[in-house]
Amino acid sequence: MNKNILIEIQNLKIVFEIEGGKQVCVVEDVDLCLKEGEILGIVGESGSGKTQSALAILGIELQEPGIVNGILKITVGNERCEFYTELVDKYVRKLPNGRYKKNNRKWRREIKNEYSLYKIRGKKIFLMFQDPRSYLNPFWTIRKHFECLAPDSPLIEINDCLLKFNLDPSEVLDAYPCSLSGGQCQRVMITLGYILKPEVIIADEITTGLDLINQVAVVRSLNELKEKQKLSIILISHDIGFVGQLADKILIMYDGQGAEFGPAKNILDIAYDIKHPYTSELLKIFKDKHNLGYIDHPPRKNEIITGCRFHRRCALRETACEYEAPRDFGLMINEDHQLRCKKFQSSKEQ
Amino acid sequence: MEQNKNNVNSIYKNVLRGIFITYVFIYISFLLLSLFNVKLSRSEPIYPIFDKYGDALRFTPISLRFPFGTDYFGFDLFSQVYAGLKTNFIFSLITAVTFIFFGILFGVRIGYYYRSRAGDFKRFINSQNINQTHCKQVTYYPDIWLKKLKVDTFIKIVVNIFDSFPLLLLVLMMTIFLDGWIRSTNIKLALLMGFYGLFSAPRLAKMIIGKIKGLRAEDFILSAISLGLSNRKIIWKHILWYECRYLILYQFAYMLGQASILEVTLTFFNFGAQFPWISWGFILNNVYKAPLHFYIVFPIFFITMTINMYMKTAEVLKDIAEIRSK
Repeated sequence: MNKNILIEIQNLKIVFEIEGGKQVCVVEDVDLCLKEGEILGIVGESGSGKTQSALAILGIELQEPGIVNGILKITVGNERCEFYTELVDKYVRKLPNGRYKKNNRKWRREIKNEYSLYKIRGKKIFLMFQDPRSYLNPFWTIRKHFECLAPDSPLIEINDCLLKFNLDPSEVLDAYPCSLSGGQCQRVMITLGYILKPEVIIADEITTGLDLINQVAVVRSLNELKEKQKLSIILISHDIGFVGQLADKILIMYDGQGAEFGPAKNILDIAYDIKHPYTSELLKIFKDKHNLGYIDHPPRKNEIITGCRFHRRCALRETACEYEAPRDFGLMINEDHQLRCKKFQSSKEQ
Repeated sequence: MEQNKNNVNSIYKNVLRGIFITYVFIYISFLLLSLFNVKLSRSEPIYPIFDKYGDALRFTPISLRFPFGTDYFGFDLFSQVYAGLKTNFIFSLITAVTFIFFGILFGVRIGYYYRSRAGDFKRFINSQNINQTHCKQVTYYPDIWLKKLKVDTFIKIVVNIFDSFPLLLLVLMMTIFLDGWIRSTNIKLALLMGFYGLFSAPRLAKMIIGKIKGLRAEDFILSAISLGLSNRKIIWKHILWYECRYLILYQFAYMLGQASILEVTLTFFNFGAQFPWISWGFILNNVYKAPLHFYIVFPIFFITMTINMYMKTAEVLKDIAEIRSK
């Protein structure tokens, strides 16, 4: 059965400015595709651009100038958005010194008017953050959050939902976020997601910092949400094991680039031959956490790298990897499986 | 010994608090009565009182008819203070409302939206490799400045210019300037008070900018954006109402106090309210013109206490704002 594509990203590129006026590319050539009712996992190290990519889906850039390029198609319910590509041509120009300059005001106006991102945010695509306590307004009670963000929902429905996720409404509703535990706050966010009835949930490292019991509770809630509302979920985490339990497809990111994208069963299967060296490394570490071996740090953000970004750490590297970057992230292994590696590219060409 | 001292202190504080609350209650009651034009005495504040021989009733003893007595010219001091209450409050309110309106407008505009523009401006200078101490800056700077002159930049410049003016001098200059244009002194005073509010607005704007810049980096603002709240809602609901309301309220009370002093001062120097409006500055002016009498203590006490009340209220609100911000 063909499922509808909800979110499709091609060649996503995000440029930020760091101290000293230098512009760095934090995300480059990321492709992904989320279909209806699917769970897509994004796995990568800290700073690999997972959160930035997720925020770009909602049209949010964390820093200035925040130039986002690429093709992004969102089709959720009646809302259909395609943005970034034309905007870059219109409102971003390249300065003679190689840096970009963006007309922020027109950019924002364009996004707001033409693509109605405000209609999508929260109501169609719901974003859950890593530390929910800091993402809930510290001066608002939980009741105020529900009143403001879901004004149409009656209190009885809110109470029922809270009870479903194992929260006592009389205790939680009049409490401030600081007086609740991390797990409780996370479940409050999930309840909010349940009440808003979005079509896509982006869960950004939601189990980080939670104890095992709370982790299980959160995962169970998320599963329940998926089954009852037939949601699509983008699950962001650095833990390939956690993502592997839930995801149908996995995108592996390394240093701002998509390294591999494919079905979870292929990616997690160690016996499966065609695999990016970084994925193999991640799986090895996951299987045997005590045997880390030698691991180099990922390159710094302002570091200029020729060739493949992973070549310093790669066990399968060739001389060409140091000078030539792998071609576009579009090499098909089969219908859904793509990976970015010179080795597999050349073997395919042969 | 120390326990006794503490007890005495707490009793003293409670008594003061009681007096303050009583005074606020009296002030608000009288203010409401005067705003709704309820007459409390038979005599008119704008006319002196004469006896049957046509002489002014000077320094009449305190009685039910004249609770504060009369002054050298025969004016009933109580009815004058009562009428001055309304005048003072209305003109102070004009200043305070202008101050709050423009303070919030400037603060939000610069604090919330200015960030990217400032970044662009800095980058452009850097990219041209202009040494700011070098003489080349003189030739290049205006071109860049004009190119980049957008609404936000313009507002920031205006705010800085407003902030650098000595305010009392500015008000006096405006008085002289408005003399040739507007005849009605009351409208002139209203305009002056409005200008005073406008030119004081940068003080509030800077505080709000500080608050917004701190909050802009907070996670819950990012969360609010991602949940689909518009910028306007975030500014009103997350920032101004829940974070800055006590700050705004205390600045409002403080400004009411300052404006009261200004109104009294301007009227004292004959720049202020004229008949049929009665101002407290008028009472003080009469004191200056005529021999002093003990009865003048009552109105002056009332004026001082009113201004003190505004300041005290501002202090209390400031304490609350500080505690809240911690």
